[in-house]
Amino acid sequence: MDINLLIAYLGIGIMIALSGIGSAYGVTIAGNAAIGALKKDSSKFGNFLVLTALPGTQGLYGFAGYFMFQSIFNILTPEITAIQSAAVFAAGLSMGLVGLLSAIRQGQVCANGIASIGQGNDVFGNTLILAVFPELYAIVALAGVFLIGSAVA
Amino acid sequence: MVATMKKFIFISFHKDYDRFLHALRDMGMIHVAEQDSMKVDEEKLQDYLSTSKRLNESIKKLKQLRDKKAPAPYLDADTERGMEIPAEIEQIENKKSALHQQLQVSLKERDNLRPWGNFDPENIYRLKEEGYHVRFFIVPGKEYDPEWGTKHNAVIIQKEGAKTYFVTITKGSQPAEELQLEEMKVPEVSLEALDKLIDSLQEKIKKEDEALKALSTEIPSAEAALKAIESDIFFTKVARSATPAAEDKLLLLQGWAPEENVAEITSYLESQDVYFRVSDPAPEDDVPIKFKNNRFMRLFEPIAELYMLPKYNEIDLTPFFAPFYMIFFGLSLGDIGYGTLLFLGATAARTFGKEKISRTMRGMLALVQILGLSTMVCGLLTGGFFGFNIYETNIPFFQNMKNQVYFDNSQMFTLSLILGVVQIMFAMFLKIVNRIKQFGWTQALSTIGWFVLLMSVIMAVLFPAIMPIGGTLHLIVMGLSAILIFFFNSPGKNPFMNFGLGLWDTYNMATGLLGDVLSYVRLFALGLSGGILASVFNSLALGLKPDNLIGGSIVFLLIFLFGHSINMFMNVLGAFVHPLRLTFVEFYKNAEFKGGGKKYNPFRK
Repeated sequence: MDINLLIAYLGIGIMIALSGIGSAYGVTIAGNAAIGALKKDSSKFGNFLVLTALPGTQGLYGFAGYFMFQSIFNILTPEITAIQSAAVFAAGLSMGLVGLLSAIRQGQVCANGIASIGQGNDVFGNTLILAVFPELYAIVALAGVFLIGSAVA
Repeated sequence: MVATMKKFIFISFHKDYDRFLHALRDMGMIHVAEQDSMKVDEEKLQDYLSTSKRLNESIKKLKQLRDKKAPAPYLDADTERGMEIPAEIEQIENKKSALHQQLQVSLKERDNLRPWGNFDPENIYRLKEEGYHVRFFIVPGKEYDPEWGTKHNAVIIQKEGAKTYFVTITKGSQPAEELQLEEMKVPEVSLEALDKLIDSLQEKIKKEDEALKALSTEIPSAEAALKAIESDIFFTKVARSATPAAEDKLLLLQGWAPEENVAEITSYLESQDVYFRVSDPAPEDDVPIKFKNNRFMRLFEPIAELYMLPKYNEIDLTPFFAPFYMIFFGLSLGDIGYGTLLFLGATAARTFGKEKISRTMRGMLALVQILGLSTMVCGLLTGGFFGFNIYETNIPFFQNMKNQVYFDNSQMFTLSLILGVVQIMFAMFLKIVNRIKQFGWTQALSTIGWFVLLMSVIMAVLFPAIMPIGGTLHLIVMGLSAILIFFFNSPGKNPFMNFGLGLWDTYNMATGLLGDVLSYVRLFALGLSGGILASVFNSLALGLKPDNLIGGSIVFLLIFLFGHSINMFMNVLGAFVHPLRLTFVEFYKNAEFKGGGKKYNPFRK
């Protein structure tokens, strides 16, 4: 049914868009902090680059989620059932929201770490560890998408 | 492993103290327990600190000035010369700022002078001596009265913007009062002379800039000076760590050294007439930590240092997390091609950059090699190779291998959770060993209870034939471990207290373990998402390329290279950081790692 496919694609859209927006915000927050901190200590650009890239993964998870439905589970077809489309929508909603908020929050953790490194504190390793805490939930959401997909495919 | 340390107590006569410290520094094997108990020349220390700060800033400044395209060769390092560099830079900069100030003033003057044109002020003075007064005026254009021309011999020199510049040439009389205007001062120099002055100032500034740039060839000297100052600072800090005794006649200094060096140290110190005593560390001592691992485990020490060093009486967990970290990295990256690239890149860097790379860097590269190898092996489970799947090809060899090692997605999901259970159980085992080592058997009993309980559940699930879950044998084992958990978790306290603490422990275990094991899902998800993105870039490259051979391959290559570089960067980063977290949070927590040790840093030049 066409309406089923429509709902499924709505979910896919939410998933890709929200997690992508989240990552864009996250890396921007960290990137802004990095530019400020470079003024204080330009030799730490390598550290800043790594920390700035960390919130970039959520957007990729959203995209990976879409790809799972498209190629692994193969359910984005006109034959999709109502249950399947509801599952895709729900999976997309959860991945999208978790990706959006976790990326922004992760960006803030990274930004604080960057500012602190700029002030001469040796906290690169600590920031790396603390910054992956929020990311776990995006990963869990992606695993959730996978489980939802395997359940209905 | 942590190297066994010995405690040294040195006793020195106060007059002999300086010679003693130099002997200690020349040997360079003793970690001195730093404290602030002796009065030293604070002024001297402050002096050293400010010098090191100035040197640091100078080096930074000179490095920025260095010509990146055609760098002049460095001069040989000379410590004494290096000490002069900050003052020299300061001198040049002072000169420069004075010149700049002068330049600003001249530029402003030139702006004032320009409307009047180029003339020699001498001529004005000469006219004055002959009785002809030339006066300079500026009025808003509207206010200029053409009658002034006949009345006061006014001549318009320039009309610029809204202003009119004019002079009056009169014999004696004072047109300024009649005109009710303010007279401008007669300029002191001609425009031409001013231009020359400005040029020469700019030339001078350029020269100073060049002098500053030339100084950048002496960066090695500045660095040598910085090193010398830092060594002086270290010396002063060590010097004040001694405890005075016997009315300040004797000085006691405490230090540490690895046990394996004791013989060497003893013979050296005896030759230097130093009085000292060697003993074993007491439990309350803050012993510095020196890692002592085999060649493989040593590579993982930088990772362990990212978190915290263990305390002296704790187990060093480096050898125990190393194999896990290696596998976790491989699973998270999970692409045979990326693994090969990492391995080959690190190998190439090690072979071709032989002399240029430092020892620590070599260790890092070796670590990258190992992680790359692990990625290649783990990649075989799913078969990803730059986003293509080797098991989807029709090559019989791979098809054969697929039957042996291939894991599909749900199997990978399960595998990562199983790895989590294995690592957490292993951590708990280490916790038992750690507690026995640090506090004795009694403190380890409740942990043993938990370990046995969890193991019995695992065994019951795996081998229901031997010990069915909930069967008599299983119940007995669970009962025994429950006794340990609820009544032996803090020996010496009353049973009710113990029981309460046991309940609290149970709550923590139940919520904690579940979360900890689930955390390992990341291994599966990272590998999966990386693989998916890689394959998406491949389909993009294949889908977007035009149909002719040359254009097609160029477009394909561009998209392929660009896509995989981004993907590899993000995935390597993730594969580095996430296992790090699993190690420091899940593994360290369950192994009850406390940490906080200081690194062994011997007193040397």
